[in-house]
Amino acid sequence: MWSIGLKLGTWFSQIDMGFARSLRLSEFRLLLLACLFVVIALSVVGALGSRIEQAMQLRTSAIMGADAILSSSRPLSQIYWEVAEDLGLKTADSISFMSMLTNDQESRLVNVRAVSENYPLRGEILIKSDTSPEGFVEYKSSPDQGTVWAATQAVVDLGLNELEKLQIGDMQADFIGEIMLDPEGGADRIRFAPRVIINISDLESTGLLTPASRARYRLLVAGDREAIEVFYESVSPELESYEEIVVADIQRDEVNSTVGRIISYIRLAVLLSVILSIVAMALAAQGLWRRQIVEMALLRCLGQQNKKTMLRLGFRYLTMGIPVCMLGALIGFAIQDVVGRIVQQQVIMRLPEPSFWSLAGAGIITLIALFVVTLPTLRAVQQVPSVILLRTSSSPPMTQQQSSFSILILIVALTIFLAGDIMLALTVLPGLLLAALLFWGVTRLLIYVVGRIVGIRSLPYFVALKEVCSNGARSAWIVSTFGSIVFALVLLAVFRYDIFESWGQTLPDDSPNVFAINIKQSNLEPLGEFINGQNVTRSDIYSIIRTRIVEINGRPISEYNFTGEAKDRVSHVFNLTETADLPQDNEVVQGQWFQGNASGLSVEDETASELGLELGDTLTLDTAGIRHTAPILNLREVVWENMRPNFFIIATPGLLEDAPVSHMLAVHVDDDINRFINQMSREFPNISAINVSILLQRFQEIVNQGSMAISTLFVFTLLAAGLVFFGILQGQKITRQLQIALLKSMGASRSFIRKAVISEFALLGIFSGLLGSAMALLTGTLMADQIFDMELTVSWSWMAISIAVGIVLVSIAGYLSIRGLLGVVPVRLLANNRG
Amino acid sequence: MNENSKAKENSVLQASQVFKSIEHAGSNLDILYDISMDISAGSTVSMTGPSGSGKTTLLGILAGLDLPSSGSITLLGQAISTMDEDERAKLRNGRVGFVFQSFHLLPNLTALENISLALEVISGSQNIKEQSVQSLESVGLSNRASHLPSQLSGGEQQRVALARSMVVNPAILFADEPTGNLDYQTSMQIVDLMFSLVEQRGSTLILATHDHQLAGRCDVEYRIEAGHLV
Repeated sequence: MWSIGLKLGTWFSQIDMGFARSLRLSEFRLLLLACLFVVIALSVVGALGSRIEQAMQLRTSAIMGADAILSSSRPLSQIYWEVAEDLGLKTADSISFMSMLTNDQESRLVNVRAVSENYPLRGEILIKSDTSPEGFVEYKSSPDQGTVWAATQAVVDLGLNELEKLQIGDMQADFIGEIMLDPEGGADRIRFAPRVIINISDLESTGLLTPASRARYRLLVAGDREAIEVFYESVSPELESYEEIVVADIQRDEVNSTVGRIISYIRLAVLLSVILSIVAMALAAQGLWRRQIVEMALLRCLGQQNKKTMLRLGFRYLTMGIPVCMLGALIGFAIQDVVGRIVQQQVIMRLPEPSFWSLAGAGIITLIALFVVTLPTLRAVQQVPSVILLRTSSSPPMTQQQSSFSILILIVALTIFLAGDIMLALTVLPGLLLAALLFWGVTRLLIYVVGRIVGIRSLPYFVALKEVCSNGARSAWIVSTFGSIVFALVLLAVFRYDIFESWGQTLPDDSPNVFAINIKQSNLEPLGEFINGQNVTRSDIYSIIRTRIVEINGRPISEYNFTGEAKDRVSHVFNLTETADLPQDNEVVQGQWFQGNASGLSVEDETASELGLELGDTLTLDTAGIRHTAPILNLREVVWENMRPNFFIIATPGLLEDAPVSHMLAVHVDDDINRFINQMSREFPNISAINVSILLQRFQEIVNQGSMAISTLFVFTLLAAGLVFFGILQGQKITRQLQIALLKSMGASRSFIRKAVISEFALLGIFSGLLGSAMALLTGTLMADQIFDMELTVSWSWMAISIAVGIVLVSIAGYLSIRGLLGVVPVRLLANNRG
Repeated sequence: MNENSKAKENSVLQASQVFKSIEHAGSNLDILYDISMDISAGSTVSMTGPSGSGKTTLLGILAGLDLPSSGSITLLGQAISTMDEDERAKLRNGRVGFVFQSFHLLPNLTALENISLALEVISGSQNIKEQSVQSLESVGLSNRASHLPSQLSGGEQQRVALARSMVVNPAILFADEPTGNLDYQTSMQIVDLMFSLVEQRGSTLILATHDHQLAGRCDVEYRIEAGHLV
């Protein structure tokens, strides 16, 4: 036992010495630095990205008041509560129904929502307050027993004053606050009656809820994303036809597709930062391979077996990796904390606490990456005779192949793991691989062409050109690496610009800020006159017909086996409009917009694809018991995030004759919105108006948060690119030393060498900028269509900027790589390469 | 015991009908033809020949750093031709030393650490530092213990390499053009030192060189031309 302890002690002390000795190698130090950066990139960019994503997810949930809502027209089974509680989810419940709200003078039809104490689980209810600087107070609970909150329209209609006594059914309650925004209200597309919120324990005293009541029962749940997914998966198959479940998902909610884009962008930035950091690690390791191979060959000469050398080096990397990963995670945590605080302060965004596991995960991934970039080279040369290894001046080809293969596998695995979005991984990865292959091939071609056609007499430039052309493989490697950096940065820059630009475009100044519904045919003329007398920039009137699809091509819906969103679409009543004009932000993608006396339907293209509908198919619609069958005349693409009323199905005017119809008004009010709503409510008591400006404001906040987060992440990607840059310089060191020693020994002056090297790198910079930006724009266009669901503004100026940046940065890199060597005597330069 | 078996017992290295060819540009390039030799313990042996004659390749094969295409090698009583890389390394462990033309010192290790490395790979080594310091003293470089290879002259680097190879008291020292990168004066110093250390420790010295003067100091000289022993 004692001897085993002694042996272990000796081994550890040797390992320790090996570690200290390795630190003397600049390649080793660079590898450490790259390692540190990978951990920081993973823990800061990855974890912060994930925290921001979670926060944005929470904001999306806040619009709904929960992460998921299970609703039903009948009381919900207790089993659903049990499932939620078993999964550790928080629950709240709400029951809503229509009733009359009465004060001592008048009555008003309202939508009563009785909510439990902990309602809402996400977000808050904003209650108007004249004393608060924001103009409102946030509540994350129900009103007290015996009190009522009421929406603006009810307050105006009934002329309510604070603490005024109100009657709801048999209950008497005090009016204590005006609702400016309530979670579920924000998500409602149409609300026929203003909301009134009461405490659920008052429900019984209203005497309004009987088995025959038309009420909506809701179970709200919130908690871990995974638990919510499990809840959704467990509950969905059990749902009755009158029950439905909705999960707040930034990716699925069409209203929040801009937020979805931001999330995709964050993932893209994380992915590119980590890939660049791994490339930097690989570059650092490449410099180390030759040293490792010589060490292995020498140790073998001295009698050490390969497996011991592998163990020795493996343990050295482990002992080096663990403290570096811990340090990186600590730095990552600190940066995350600081950036998190800034994000919270600047955009009033509550970030979830950083998770220990995300930091530990970053460390473990980095350790794996460290082994992958270092050890396969040694495995590859295990059976190669030492004499051959000692004679070879560079790493044997098989080590480079083995390592490139291992690094490729690592990057593929990380891309799929980190992307969390298979489409993103499938687009970025082949994009990067294709880019690297194209960079390599096209650079070789460009070098060949340039070498043939360019005649340069000035000696430094001639030397530069010769250096580029005669070392085709090395030049192609540099261009591939620099080009990949340009590729990553241009891709991020283009999307950053376009995502926010597209948000700006979809929300023009005249976006509606008030929606009014429940408008009767008889209201249309006087309402038009009323609007003309107001300070209004734009107003649009839409007819609204509540209908549902009952047959497709003459076959009842029940015969189709729809699932998921398609099932939701056909099992619920939805709003349809009749119009002869193609609505704004709609584009016909198949067929033609309604022509002349044509009679038929226009279907939103995604809905059509979910239901498997094609042009010419017929739909039978049931509107209040009246059935109409009509063909699909065209398919439309709809920009859902434009905050205008949008419709899945539009009918030609008069198609659904005899169907009960109401109208909807979307208007942009320039003056005081509340005054406009109050005035309209007084003149048209049957019309319900919704102030959507607060919702828009909240949504704008989310976009601002995304912008801020993206700027932070972009900085990290830039730093990762900087590290790759440094890795290339380091990899160039030995070659440059020999080249400069040779030029100096032949009498070349400092300025001659400087000119030659800068010109060489400037030429490589042109190639890098040209190829990197071209590839980024091509991949970007594909990603815009497949992932971001937007059109990319491809501007050739990106290419010009990239080439200019390529020339400047690569030339600076070239100059920095030789600056320290210019003043050193040739003998010294050669001595540095001995040993 | 007859004379033949005595000679075999005294033999540290035997090569029998060794051939070596490598694949080059799609065809086989023959480097060594039918080499046989028997080297006895404590002797000094040189292999001479012009550049490209195959002497370095033969030295590598004799030391088990490379394998012959055919033929057999017995090193320190064990047939190494059938051993894998690890088994051959184990055989060399602490019993074989090397001196290379280009020194092959690890650039991140000091002179003393480069010497210690040879002891560190032998399991159960003790007093590593003391032994390394003594070895460095034996080549006259005790004042350069903490210097890195890039801070030493060529001659000094070769002396460190010599100290590294001798610190384990090897049964056989292989030296490949040990003076090939050095000036005449330095070469003479290194050679004197190498012979003196080998003699002190009773090691066998096998060196490859194109220097006839150096070869002349050895007990046995093998001449190789175009891969043939002549």
